[in-house]
Amino acid sequence: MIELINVCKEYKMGEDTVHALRGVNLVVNDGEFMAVVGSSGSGKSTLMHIIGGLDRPTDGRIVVDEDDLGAASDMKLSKYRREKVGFVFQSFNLQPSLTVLENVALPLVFTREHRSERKRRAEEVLELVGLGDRLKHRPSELSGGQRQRVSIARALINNPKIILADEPTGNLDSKTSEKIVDLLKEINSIRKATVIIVTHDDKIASQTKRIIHISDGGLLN
Amino acid sequence: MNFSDLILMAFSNLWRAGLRAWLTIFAVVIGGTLIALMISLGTGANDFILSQFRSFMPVNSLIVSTSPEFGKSGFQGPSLGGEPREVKDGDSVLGFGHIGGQKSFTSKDIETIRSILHVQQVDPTYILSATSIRLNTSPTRYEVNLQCLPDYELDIRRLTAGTRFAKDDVRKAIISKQYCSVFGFDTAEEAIGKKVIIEVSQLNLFGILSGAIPAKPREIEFEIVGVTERTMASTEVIITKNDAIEIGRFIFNNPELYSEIWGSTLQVKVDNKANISKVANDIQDLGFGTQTPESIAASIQSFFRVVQVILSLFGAIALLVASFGIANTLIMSVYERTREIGIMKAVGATNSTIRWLFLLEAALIGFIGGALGVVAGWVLGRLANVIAHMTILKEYEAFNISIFPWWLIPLVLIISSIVAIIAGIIPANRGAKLNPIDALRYE
Repeated sequence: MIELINVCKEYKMGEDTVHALRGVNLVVNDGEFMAVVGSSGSGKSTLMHIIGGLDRPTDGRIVVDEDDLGAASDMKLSKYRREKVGFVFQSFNLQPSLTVLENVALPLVFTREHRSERKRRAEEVLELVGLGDRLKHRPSELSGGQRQRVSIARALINNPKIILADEPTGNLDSKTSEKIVDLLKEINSIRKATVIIVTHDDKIASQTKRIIHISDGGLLN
Repeated sequence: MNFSDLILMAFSNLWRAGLRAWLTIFAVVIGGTLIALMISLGTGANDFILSQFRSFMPVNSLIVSTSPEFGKSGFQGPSLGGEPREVKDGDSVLGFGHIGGQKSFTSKDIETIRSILHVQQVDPTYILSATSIRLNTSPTRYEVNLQCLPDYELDIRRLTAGTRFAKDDVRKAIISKQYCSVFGFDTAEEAIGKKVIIEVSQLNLFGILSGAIPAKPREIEFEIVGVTERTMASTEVIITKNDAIEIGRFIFNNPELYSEIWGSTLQVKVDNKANISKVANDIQDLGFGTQTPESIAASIQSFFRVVQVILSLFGAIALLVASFGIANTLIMSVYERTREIGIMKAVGATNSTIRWLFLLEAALIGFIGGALGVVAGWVLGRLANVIAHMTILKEYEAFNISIFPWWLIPLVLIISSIVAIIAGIIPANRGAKLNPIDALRYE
């Protein structure tokens, strides 16, 4: 369970203070399939970063399975990201120098998984996202939709409890977008992972089971 | 992250950097090469000089001088740049002894020294300034350094032909190998039994002091009984004690020499090498100066150690310059790979993993550069040996100008790796402290 209690996030931008989040309260139960919808600059990405352990709130608390992430050390946050979270990014964030297989296996390098086990599991998740025949390709040899599938496969490889997708279809055409959302839906239902999609696209959001709107750093009910 | 994965990743990152990595490594190679080469040259020179020295001076003897300063300061000759020293009565009768302002030993001094515990033998150091040497069959004269050595010192001279002196030998000589070629002998054996003429003349320095007119030079015939192995002492000709006393008395025109007065330096034999410093202390207590083989060897070695350090400083400077290159390359690479670092952090890499990744990359640059440097230093050293054997060390097959001790390999590898790791600290910390969100947004 993810629990946000009065979470605030402020940035210093030169002289100005930017209030990215203003007291967000939110509970996400295990296995939910939900969307966070908001316009650009609404704070939705910041919300995702805080849930994903990439950032800490300046005020309030975020508790995931009884762990207070705001108080956790860098080491602990890394461990949290390594074991419980899978990220899917709008711009895929694949490493161009690595093959599809190596990109997907990368998180397991940091969990000290044995090489053969890394390969086995990477092949398994790539099979799952329908790219079992592209293992040796470089990201540059793939289409946008395929790249996003690789990115999803990478997010899945640690068997995380939480999948955070930040505008996962932002760079894709509508037909491909639909397939990606279908894939995320499938992951939610088969793997029982909590899937949170951050988007500005209502059409994408409408396919999830719960939609929360965010504007100017606060949730709209 | 496993160490093997870390190494593999650092290695592939380096490989990806391609030319830039190699240029950085090349700077380290230069530093490593210089250090390896300079130390090997210093070791070679030290080894050569020391072994030459050891072949001349017996380890269980010491030199004693009437001057208490002997063996303490480096130079014993005339005052250079300083004020002239006063000459007193009783100063060396050996004429040029005055140059050093030194007194001569008396027979009583000799008895006192001989009575010291552990002293076995006391000999004068014969000063035999001969003018020239020639074959009795040829008018061509050559320079010569006439010597008379105590028996135990002669024993450590290695002969390539002939024999050492028999007891009571007179007019017999042992010549250095180098004379064989100038005398036209094909082998050293050929020289045995041949006769040489050595010319000695009185030192007119003493003559001037006493007002006497020097006698005519004398030509003395010697039979060659032995030939020493080739050493740096290329003009050394050794004669027997009986001849040395006679020639010494003639040169200095003093019949009391080596019976009442003994010159300003003596050579003292001690029963055991271990007692040398004890005997040296006892002799110093008498007001004389001493110089032991160990002290000479130590000063030779410390000189070469200084030379080695100075020479390897060039390498150290080159490494220092290379370290800036390493830091620069890695800082560039942190910028270039900012997004990659962000991804790694997002999927769970810790700060210290990122730090280690860059430190290891730095260490690899240092290690590869150091390894290539050692190899290059070794190759250049071998080349120097080949060239030296064709030129300056032509006759010394056993010696090398460059000696490559095994510890040079780990030394250079460790130094270059450590320098590189230190250079990598700043870039590695930059990479480690990158905020993952900013890093992921970085274009």
